[in-house]
Amino acid sequence: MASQSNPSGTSPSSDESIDASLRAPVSYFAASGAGWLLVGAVLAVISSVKLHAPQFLGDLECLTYGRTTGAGNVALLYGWGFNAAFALSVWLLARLSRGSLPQPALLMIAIFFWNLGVAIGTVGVLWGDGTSLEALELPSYAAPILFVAYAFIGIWIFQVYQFGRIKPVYLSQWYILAALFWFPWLFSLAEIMLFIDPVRGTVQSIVHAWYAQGLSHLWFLPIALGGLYYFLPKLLNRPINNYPIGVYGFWMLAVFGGWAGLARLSGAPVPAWVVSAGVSGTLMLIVTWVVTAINLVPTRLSGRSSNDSSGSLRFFSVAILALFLWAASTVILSLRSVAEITQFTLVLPAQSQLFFLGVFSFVALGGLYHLVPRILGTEWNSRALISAHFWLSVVGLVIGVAALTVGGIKQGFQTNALGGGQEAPASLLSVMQQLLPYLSSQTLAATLLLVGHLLFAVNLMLTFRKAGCCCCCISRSSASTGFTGSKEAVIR
Amino acid sequence: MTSLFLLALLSSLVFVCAIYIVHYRGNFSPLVQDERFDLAMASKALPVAVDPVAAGKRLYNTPGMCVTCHQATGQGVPGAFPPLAGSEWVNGTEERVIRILLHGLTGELKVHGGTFNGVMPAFGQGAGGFNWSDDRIAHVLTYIRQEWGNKAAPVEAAKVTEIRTKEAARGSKSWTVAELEAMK
Repeated sequence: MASQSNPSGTSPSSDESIDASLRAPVSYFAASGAGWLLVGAVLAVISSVKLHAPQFLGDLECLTYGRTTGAGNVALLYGWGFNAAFALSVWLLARLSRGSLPQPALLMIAIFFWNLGVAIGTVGVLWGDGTSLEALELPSYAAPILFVAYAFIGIWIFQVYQFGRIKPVYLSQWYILAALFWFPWLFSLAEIMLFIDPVRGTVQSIVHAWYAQGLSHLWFLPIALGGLYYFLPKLLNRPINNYPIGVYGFWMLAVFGGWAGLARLSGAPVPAWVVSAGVSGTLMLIVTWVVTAINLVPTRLSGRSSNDSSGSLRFFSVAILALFLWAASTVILSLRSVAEITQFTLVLPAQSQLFFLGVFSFVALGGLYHLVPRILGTEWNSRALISAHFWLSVVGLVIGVAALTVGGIKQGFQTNALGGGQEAPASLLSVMQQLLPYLSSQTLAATLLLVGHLLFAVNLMLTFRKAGCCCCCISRSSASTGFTGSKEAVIR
Repeated sequence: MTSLFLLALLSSLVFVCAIYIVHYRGNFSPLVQDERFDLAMASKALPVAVDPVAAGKRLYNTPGMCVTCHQATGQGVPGAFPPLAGSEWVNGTEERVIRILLHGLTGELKVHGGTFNGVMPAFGQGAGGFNWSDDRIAHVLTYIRQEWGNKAAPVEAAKVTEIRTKEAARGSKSWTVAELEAMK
């Protein structure tokens, strides 16, 4: 672990050659990520509408609530989330270890198969082959494709680090490299223990909780933290506030990130000690949150943006805010007395939205807004579209999370009161009917997000056109047009 | 300074988590889902007292069982099925009734001076039997021995077990009155 806060090699020619080697695959990641983001957002709107207007598209078997929700999750998590995570990690690793990508064409093939796997998965869920497990809705025939494609992508991204010229490892690299190894561990174990050779009854729900939360804690979160640790000092021209302690946050996440997922099972028919272990894991992660807060918040507050030509800094600011809100919510909601009210209510989707759409997606979007111009060698087609996307996303996120949280808390109190008491609601149905305004607000939020993501996709497409490249070209030559070294930040 | 603070935070979290786990460990038992569940208390409460008369009444009145022939009044059907109410067989020694229930009864039978010639099916194990457990047989016998004015002693499941073991060699062969009358 190097104590220096950032590698300092900034020779323009090397940046250009690195970016040139990444041009085709990162464009591919960005384009397919944006495409899946749209697919996922459309499916999210459809499932959200169905919660308060069940007759909507009710005659189409492939668009029933269970299928659109599952397919939307697959498209968002594995389509958008992973493509964006791949783009960020390969670019960050290349920048930080000063390595170019060997044989981008092979990576392109792996990306193709990853997207093929996601497409088969999404269509499979709509077809009716999905599983009932959240975050693992993929039909079991899509999983091997994803796993093999991931193996290639992961190895290729790792190569960038392996062949890089700078060996000291910066914290962003810790997080990203670890995530690259954690995900196949999570995914293969979950697939084996749930589908290939299923474990017995209760253990399945424990494995699933471990995977579902592990996907957040050990894949999306480290990528997001890796991004924040890189982009904040770079965009603000400030060092990380207290870099040496950052590594403690990393190790606490590594040790307890997997345990924390078991807290999801509070109130479920699993042994009590399993939940207690999960709650303890969640509490131990407070160290990670505190370390992250000590490092990121003062860094963010102390500097003014110096070279943020695409306005990605505001995305990171929202992500940091969402990160701490989410972290606080995981701690509070894991406690048994709180879980008694909130467990199995709308608070849980609110929490996962806050994480995936608020923390991860905002880091990923900010990262893409930052790196796409550098990869393509041209500025974004429209800054206005970026601003519109940002504000639509923020408003959509706030409305959605707030509506689901408030509605969920109300739902929890009323459902618990069903057994009797002074203000006992008449029936479960009346509890549900009171949720209708909150569910409609969620539809509004999902629609705003959809419009925002549409603007992002359009902007991305126009920028590709402006850069004179179709997204599937594998040309390495013309990357440096219009790209000047002065735009590249000199990072402290 | 920050490191000291982190050390303090980490230590206190370990402390809190240790207390939390001890408090909510549920004895680390795979069977305890609710940590407020107390195994010691639960084990005291576990043996649930079954009222043999109530259980026997339910068995007796199950459609297709005893009630079909002997009727809910225990009077049977004159000329076809013998009454249980006031029957000297029911109120007599438990050795006989248990055997009748386990293996069945065929041939001529006199109850209350009436003569019956039917087939009482076997409720114990064996071909054609209902495979009732010793508990069930004891319950239903206790019920018929204390209902409709009958005043005989209850039948214990242990006694049924004893006779079932003793007569294991008999298989599914029904008893005849002559065989039973040979017993005390």
